[in-house]
Parts: sequence; C-alpha cells; structure tokens
Amino acid sequence: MEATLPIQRTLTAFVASGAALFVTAQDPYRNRAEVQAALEGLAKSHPSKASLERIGASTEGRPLWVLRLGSPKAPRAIFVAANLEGHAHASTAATLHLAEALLASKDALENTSWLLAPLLNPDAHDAKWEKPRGLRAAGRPLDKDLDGLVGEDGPDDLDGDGLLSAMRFPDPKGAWLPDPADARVMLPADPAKGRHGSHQMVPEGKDDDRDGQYNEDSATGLRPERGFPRGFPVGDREAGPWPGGAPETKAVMDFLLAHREIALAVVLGPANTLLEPPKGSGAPALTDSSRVRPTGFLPRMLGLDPTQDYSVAELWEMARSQATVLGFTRDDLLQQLQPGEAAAPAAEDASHWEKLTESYRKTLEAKGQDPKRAAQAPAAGSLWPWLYYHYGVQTVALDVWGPPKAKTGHDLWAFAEVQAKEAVRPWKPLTLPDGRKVEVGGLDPFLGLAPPAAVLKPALEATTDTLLAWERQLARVALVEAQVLPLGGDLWRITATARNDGAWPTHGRQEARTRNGLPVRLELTPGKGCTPQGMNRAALTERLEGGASFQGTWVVRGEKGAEATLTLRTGHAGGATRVIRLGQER
Amino acid sequence: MTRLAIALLAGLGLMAQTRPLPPDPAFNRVHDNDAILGFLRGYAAAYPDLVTLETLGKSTQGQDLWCLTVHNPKTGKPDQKPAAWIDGATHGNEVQGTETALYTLHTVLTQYGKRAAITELVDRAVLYFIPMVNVDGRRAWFKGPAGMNTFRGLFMPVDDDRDGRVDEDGPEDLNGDGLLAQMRQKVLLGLGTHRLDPKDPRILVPLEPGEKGDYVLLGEEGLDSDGDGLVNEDGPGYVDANRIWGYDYAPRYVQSGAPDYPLQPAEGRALALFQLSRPHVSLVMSFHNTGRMILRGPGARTSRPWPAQDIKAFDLMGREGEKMLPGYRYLVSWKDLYVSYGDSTDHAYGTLGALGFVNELWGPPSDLQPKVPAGSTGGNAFGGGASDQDRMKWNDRLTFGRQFVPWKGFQHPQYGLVEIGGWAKDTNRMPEGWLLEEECHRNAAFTLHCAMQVPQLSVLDQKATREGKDTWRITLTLRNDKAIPTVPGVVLLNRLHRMDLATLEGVKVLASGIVTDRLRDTRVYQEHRPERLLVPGVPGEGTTTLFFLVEGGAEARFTYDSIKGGVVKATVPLK
Repeated sequence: MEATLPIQRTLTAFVASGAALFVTAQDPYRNRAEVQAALEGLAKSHPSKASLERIGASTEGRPLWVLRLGSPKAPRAIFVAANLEGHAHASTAATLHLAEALLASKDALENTSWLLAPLLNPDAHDAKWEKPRGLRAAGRPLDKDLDGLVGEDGPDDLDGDGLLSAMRFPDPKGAWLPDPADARVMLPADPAKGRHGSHQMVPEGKDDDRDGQYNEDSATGLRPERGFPRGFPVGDREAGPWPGGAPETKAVMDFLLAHREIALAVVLGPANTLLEPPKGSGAPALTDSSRVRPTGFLPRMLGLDPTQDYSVAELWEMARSQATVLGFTRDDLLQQLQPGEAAAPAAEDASHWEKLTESYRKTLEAKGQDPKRAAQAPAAGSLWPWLYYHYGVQTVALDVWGPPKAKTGHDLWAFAEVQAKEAVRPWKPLTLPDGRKVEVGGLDPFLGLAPPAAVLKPALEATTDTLLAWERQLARVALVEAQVLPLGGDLWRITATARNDGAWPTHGRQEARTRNGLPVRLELTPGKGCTPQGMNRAALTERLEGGASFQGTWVVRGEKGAEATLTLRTGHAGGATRVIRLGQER
Repeated sequence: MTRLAIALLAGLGLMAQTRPLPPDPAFNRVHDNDAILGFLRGYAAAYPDLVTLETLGKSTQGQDLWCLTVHNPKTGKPDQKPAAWIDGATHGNEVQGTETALYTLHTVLTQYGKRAAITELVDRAVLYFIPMVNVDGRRAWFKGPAGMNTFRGLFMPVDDDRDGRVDEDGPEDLNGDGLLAQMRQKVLLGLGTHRLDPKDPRILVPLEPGEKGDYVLLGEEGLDSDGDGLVNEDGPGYVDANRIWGYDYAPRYVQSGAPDYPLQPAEGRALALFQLSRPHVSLVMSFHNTGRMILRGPGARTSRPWPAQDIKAFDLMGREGEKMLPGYRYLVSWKDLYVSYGDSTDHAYGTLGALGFVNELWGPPSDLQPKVPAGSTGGNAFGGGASDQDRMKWNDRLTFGRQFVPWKGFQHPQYGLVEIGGWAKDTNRMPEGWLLEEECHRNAAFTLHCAMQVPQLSVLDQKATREGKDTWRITLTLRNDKAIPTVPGVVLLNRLHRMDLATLEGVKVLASGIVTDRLRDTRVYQEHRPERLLVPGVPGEGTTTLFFLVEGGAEARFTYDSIKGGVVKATVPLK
C-alpha cells in the first residue's frame, strides 16, 4: 500500500461527497494515488451504478483498475483502455471525465455497461511528478544496448532545471538537423528533400558507461503499449521477449477475453484512428481468381505440377473431393496458399470509420478544436491493432487532444509560443564530462501529453460527447416478426425475422473474419408435442449492417397449441426470447 | 594416495548401499504418465550427482510439468556451460515422443563414464529433458477412450462452434470398446462418396470417374450431445501446443489451434519463462510423430530471413541425420510440409537463439514405404507412401489383425444405422513394440549428435608482442570445434542477448578489436570501451582472432565469456 497523502484524503472525501470533481479542478492531472482515490470515491458514492475491479498487477505490483459503470447484465459493454504508455496524461483525464458524465447521464447506462480503465501503466505514470521529471518506462531494467550491463546509462538532469529534456550536438553522422527557418526546432534528416543530418539528438545526460552512446540504457524496463501480438516489434527490447510478455499487456488481453460482451473498444492514448486512419501493409488477400503456386503437401495431395501457378478457384475445386475425408476446408487451403493475416483494414470497416470521422470532426469543431489537426496512426504492436485484427471488435483509438495545424509545420511549437510559453526551453550550451559540447533544451516533452488545463477542458468534452453519441448508435438486434403458417396435416412452417435497429453494424467486417465472437443466431427449440423436421436448429449470420435484417425458417410437426421457443442471441447486440404456439400465432 | 583410495572405496560402498539402481524401462512399449514420472524419479535417485528433477509449473488441468536436468556440477557452473533442450509429446497423442526423450536420457546417464563421447558431453554441457509437454493430452490418450488422433491439443476450452458454450459436444465411445473410432454408413448406390474395396471390405476407396458410391464417411465416433443438429462439433480444446508460441504467432482465424494470444496456455508460458532465463541453450530437439522427417523452421515463408551461418549449422546436423535415420528426410517446415505459425522450435530459434529440430517419428512400415531419394521434398504426412491395402495386409500378416478394429453395426440416434470401426489408437502414428526400440535408439543417437554440436570453445593460439617500452600487443585465437556458432546469427538479428565478451585483467587495455584476416593482419577496432570487447561470436567449426593493445603488468589474464559457448580463460605472460 502506498502512503495516503493529505491531498488524496481530501480528494477522497470530496469525491465521496458526490461533488463533481473534475471539470472545475485547476490541475486536471492526478498522480496514481489520486487516480485510485478518485475511482474508489466514484465506486463508493454510486454503489448501485459503479464498482471497481482489479484486473491484474503492474510489473512493480501496483493494481490495474477497471471501473464498471452500469449493470453487468447489460446486453453489451463499451471498454475504454487509457494510458498504457503511462505518460498519456490527457487520456487518463478523459476517462475520468467520461466517468463523471456517465454517472450524470440519464440513459447512457441503461443498455450498456461501461468498463473504464483510466490508467493501465501506473508504474511509469508518476514520472510527471518526480524530480527531475522525464518520460520514462517502468519496471525491471533491461540490457537495452546488449552490452552485458543492465540499466547502466540513463538520462541526467545536466542543467538542473528539474526536467529531463532533449540534448543535441553536431555530428555529421547524425540523423537530425536544425530547421533552417527556426533553429530551435529539430527536423529528421531526409536526403530526398535535400535535408542532410548534421546533429544527433538524444535524451539529456552524460555517457555514464563511456561506450560512445548517450543514455541508451536507462534503468527502466518494458513498455506495455508496444507488446501486443499484431505487428509485435521483434528486436525492440522494451516491447518484451514476446507478445504479452509485460504483465500490463497480458492483463488487458485477459480482461478483454473474459468480456466478450464488449461491442466497442476505445483506446485512449497517442493514436487517433479517425483523424489518421490506419493503413495496411503487405499483400492483398487472395480471391478466387488469384493465381498462386502450390507448396508443401498440396502438389502431392492434389496431383499438381509444383512448378505451375493455379487459380484459387481451381485448387479448391480439386481439393473439395478430399475435403470430407481429411476435414480439409477452404480456409485450410487458403492458409497453405497465402498464409498470414489480413494486411489492411476491410473496406466495409474503413467506410464505417469515414462516417464516424465526419461526425467526430463536427464535434471537434463545436468544441473549438481544429478538426483538421494532425494525428498519429497506431504503432505496430500497440493495443488498437490487436483489438482490430486479432481479438475482433469494433474499435477506435482517440488521442483526446492535439495542437491545431500551424503554417510553420511545427504545430506543437506554434501552440507553445502562444499558449504554453513555459514549455519552450531555450537550448542551453553545456560541456559534458567527456568534453563534448552539447545543447540541452527544446520543448517540454510533457506538453503534448498533458496540455494546459484550459486547453484540455474542451478536448475532454469533445471526447466524452463523441463516446456518448456512439453508445446511442451501437447495434441492437430485435426479433421483429415471428410467423407460424399451417402447411396442412400437422405440419407448420415457422419464420422469424431479426433486425439491427442501430446505426452501427453488429460486427465489424474484420471482427466477423476473426470468428472470435458469437454470430447473430436465431434458434428454434421445440417444446412438448412439437417435432422438428430436419436437424438444423439455428440460423446464423456473421454480421448485420445497421437497419439490415435476416430470417430463420423451420418446419415442425405438432398438434395445434404445441409450443416452441424462438431465441435470438448475439454476443453484444442484445437478444430476445419468444414462445410461440402452433396455430395461435400469425 | 592410499588414504584417498580408501576414501573413494568407502564412498563407493556408501553409494552402493544408499543409491538405488537406475530404472530399466522397456523400450518395446509406451508408458503412461505415471510410469514415466516413476522413471524420472528413479533416475534422480540413482544419479543424484548429475540429475535435478523439478516442475516448471502446472498444466491447464493442474498437472506438474516435469523437467529433468543433467548437469555435472564438478565441471563448472551451469550458466557457464552450453546447453541443449530435449522435449517430447508436445502433442498429447504423439506419445512415443516421450519414450524417445526418455531413451536419450537413459543413454546419457547409463553411458556416462563408459563411452567417452557421452562423458565428454555431460561434463561440458547442460541437458534439459522435458519428456511430457502436453501432459494433459498424453494422460487422456492413455486413459481413453481415445483414437490415434485424439487429445493432440491442450485442454484450454474453446467455443469451436461459437454457440456461447465451450467443449459441449466432443466425440463419444458409442460401443464402449475404449476406442474413439470412425463411423461410416452404407447409403443408396449413387449417394455415396466411396465404395468398398472389392478385395477387402474393410477398406473404403474413393470413386473413380464414372463410378457410383454407396458409402459415406461420417467422421469420428460420437453423437449430437447438445441437440444443435451437429455431431462432435465442439470437443475438448482445441488449442494446439505447437501453435501457441511467441515467435511468428498468428491468430486463430489464420490457423486453427492458435490461442487468443501467444503463450496464453499455462504450459507454454511456464516452459517459455524457464527457457528465457536459460539463454545458454543453443540446440532444441522436439519429438513428434509422424512421417519420418527431420524438420527445421521457419514454419512460414513470412518469417524474418534466417541468417546463412545458422542454416549452415542446421544443414550440417540435418544431413547427418538423414544418414543416421534411414528413411528420414531433412525438410524445411513451411516449404516441404505445411505452413504453421508459433511453433515451439521457431520460438526457441527466434526468441532464444537456439537451433531447433522437430523429429517426426515413425511412418508407414519401412518395408511398405516406397524408396524416396534423400533430400527430395514433397509431403508424406498425409498418408503418402503406403496404400490402405498394403497397410491392411501388413496388419493381417505382421500383427495378426491387432491394428484394425473391424466395422460393426450401430444404431446411431441421429444418423440411423452406421458402422463403427477403424485403426486402433496405438497404430499408424507409432511403431509396433518390436520396432519401437530401434526407432528410439536411432533418434536418441541423432539427438545426442546434435547436442554434441553445441559450441565448444578453446584458446587455439595466444601471443604477446612488445610494441613499445611498456606496451604490448596480445593476439588470441579462439576455436569453436562444433557446428553451432557461439553467437547464432539470429541472436544479432533479433537482438536477443549480448554478444560474446572478451576482457583482460592485470593490464590496462588501450585498444582492442577483431583481426578479420590473420595473414594480412586486417583489424577492426572497437571504438569505445576497449576493456570490454564485444565479439559477434566464433563461427561453427571456425575461429575468431582478437587483439588487445595493452600497457603494463607481468601477465594478462584473459576471459572469453560466451552466453551460448561457455567461459574460457587463458593467462598471457608479458615477456
């Protein structure tokens, strides 16, 4: 247990009193003890609506919390995962802001359970309040530079200003150069644009281990935000030895897997998939007409010439006869022909995101944000790609805030000069113990991650409004019609229709492809005196677009008045049960 | 001298009194998990100076995951020696993988001190034996009812048919004979996909063009247990212990048997964590069945390219294996067999830097197998090599019909009248007992040949030359006598652990580096920290020459510390 600070006690009491805590506070950023106190306060002050679940522990053993708002029996859930980076402070603030708004809302908890994880990397989080402060990872040190020494060369506050900022020095081998138009700003070298590297830029500090590299092996460990399976960055020591190697990464995945009722997963952090839609990479998926060369067991199994190309359709035609015997499916064939994952987002998903982006930009504008501001796409190995490509759920990443576009191209610098002058650190010349002359300064690295309170407030509102609007638009499937038609004798035909009354599809296209969640399922369970004709009980569809419907048809034998039960089931779009009687239903 | 001899004799006498004799397992049959554990405990009791038996964690069903380590503490610390890893039964139904690992272990322990090659291996390397990886599946296979293909996977529940329930409709032993056999049904001529072989009605043959069929295959013995109209559509698992690993993983929609994320099942995580803290392992052997193959990765063509120096070491071992194991072919997994992601040997290679082989034990009886030229490709895992007719004849003549359970009628609640029968569970994938021992022996010999290829370092040559008044040039040549490099290429490619580290004590190091061409004295200097010279290894069956420019001292004490190659030291007098 961590010691309770006076401020924490005050906050706990404040929250417990039910007062709106957040929006009015001067400093919207809280350290991890205050975040935990806020969560405990909300759970305590709203016992019927809120509860707190510990979903695991960080590398250093701190609890990872999920705040549940709404009933666990709700037909679906929305998961908000924030701040796996530890230093994405605006995302933690946004999650707590959202929690306040949900508890104040009339209907947002009615059909949806909200699972809010405001701070998924508590270990790295409090670096903002440390002296000196700097962006750092957490946990057991690694040998990042593979020299056999562990955590032997971290950053130092050379100029004693309490901040670990950047350090630059001339080096013709360097990958950076000062912008000719504004020498304070460093640009990455790009020979194609005539920009040749003239400087190295590294974290502030001396070469403690005298290996010629500066601050390349700080005494900190894994970065859980880089350690997810999709696009896992092999060779990045901080991503972990394998995907899911960091306890935070594993805890988030385990929690998601235990909550298949999640209809929408929102990642709050450095990426924004609406302003910077993720692009794919790699080869396009095979279609029936793609021509490929069979490898492995295929030539022998199908009697093919291994030096020839065949179309996928031809190969499946030949493999089909073997299918029953070997349990060999078309998917098995495709795996052998073009093994691998989806390379890019599905077209259907991209067009759905375009619609979301359109209304998101309007919300940004209404809250005084620049709707055309720059944003980052999710990094390979981060949570969003895993959610979209592997876990299979409709998912959006939002970055809460970003500086408006500036004419200079240096958005954050331009913003700082007008609204956060103290974040501009002039480059200070220094001489290192090894004799090298360097400059220390640049922009405060926390500026973009924790912008000033006045700027953050409307950005939080834009994020919260966006999520509340989506909740109202998610798929909800209803049993809209059930018919029983007499076919003569004692035979009856039962027809049932289900419809998605939401604006979002029940499943994303890639979600459906992963086949991890439940499909939309219409099932007939015959009651006493009612015998089904044929063995198939359920009609399935993998996804229903907004407004789309689908039908199940069964034929049964039975006396008038005999019962059967129709069940509509989905993983996260609601369901229904209706008992029908033969001859009494139309 | 005499006193020492007496003490030794007394010691031996004590040993004879307290130490039990080593187990003597019969290798003409397979043993269930309890018997295997009994043997492991027996070896631990009989060889307490060489053997540690420990559990690495728990399986999905809560069973211990046993690891037996062979290590001679008298010849050095374990983390300063090279190491090899030998496992079996990653697939629960591939049971004789365990016997083959056990045979290897038995050979090592009983031949130690008798055969120089074995003694030398045990004295210079650590050997890890994990004979039952999928301990749950193997137990279920022995306990039965089971078939030859059942209980391959782990028991992590998966909702295979996506109806919201897990593992609710697996196969059943309908006729109570202990075997999960096959079901077939006679149908109207013209409705079938097969017909009876006119010479042997036990065999169904696919139709030739123009023929009509009167039989269909209905799959594994079982019912519609959950009333959804489908038979055996959601059995135990299915997560495949050889698709769960943390390198080149792919999700379930890309390949069935994958977990939700790598190393999600308890078995994989426990083993991977144990390996992670033992980067000295440079050779992995994993026993599977079937098909008589010596497989190496990559499992998929999309894998990062494998460095040539590693392929060279694989080839040296694999080609030797083709000679030691008649009928076995050395193949590349994705290209010659099938594509798979996240297998244990790719994980060992990509995250540990250890060269891994999967030996697919056994295949059709060798007298039935057509001659395939060594090194040729083309899968035989899908029944290639021997026809059903040949197998049946072999069953009749050489096993007196033991292997095949004749078809018998059964009134099936969903399908109506069906026939149940087929190959017994301990057939096809494994040899008959009277063939098992040779199979075990040859594979153990090949495994030990590979284990002997873990790096073996020595200082081949050392020289000190005076360069100035008090400055010396020291040149040292290291030799690796074995096939596996001390720093496999993948270690550098994937940034797995530090390179080899060369240091000198007793002198001040002014500069250091590597001599890339000894005859022309071409040198590459390390720019910084010359006192910690990082060396990208000593190649397989090759040398690396280092130089140091030093100041002062009567002698330089040299240490070469290789994570995978062990530690070697030398003293260089400066005179």
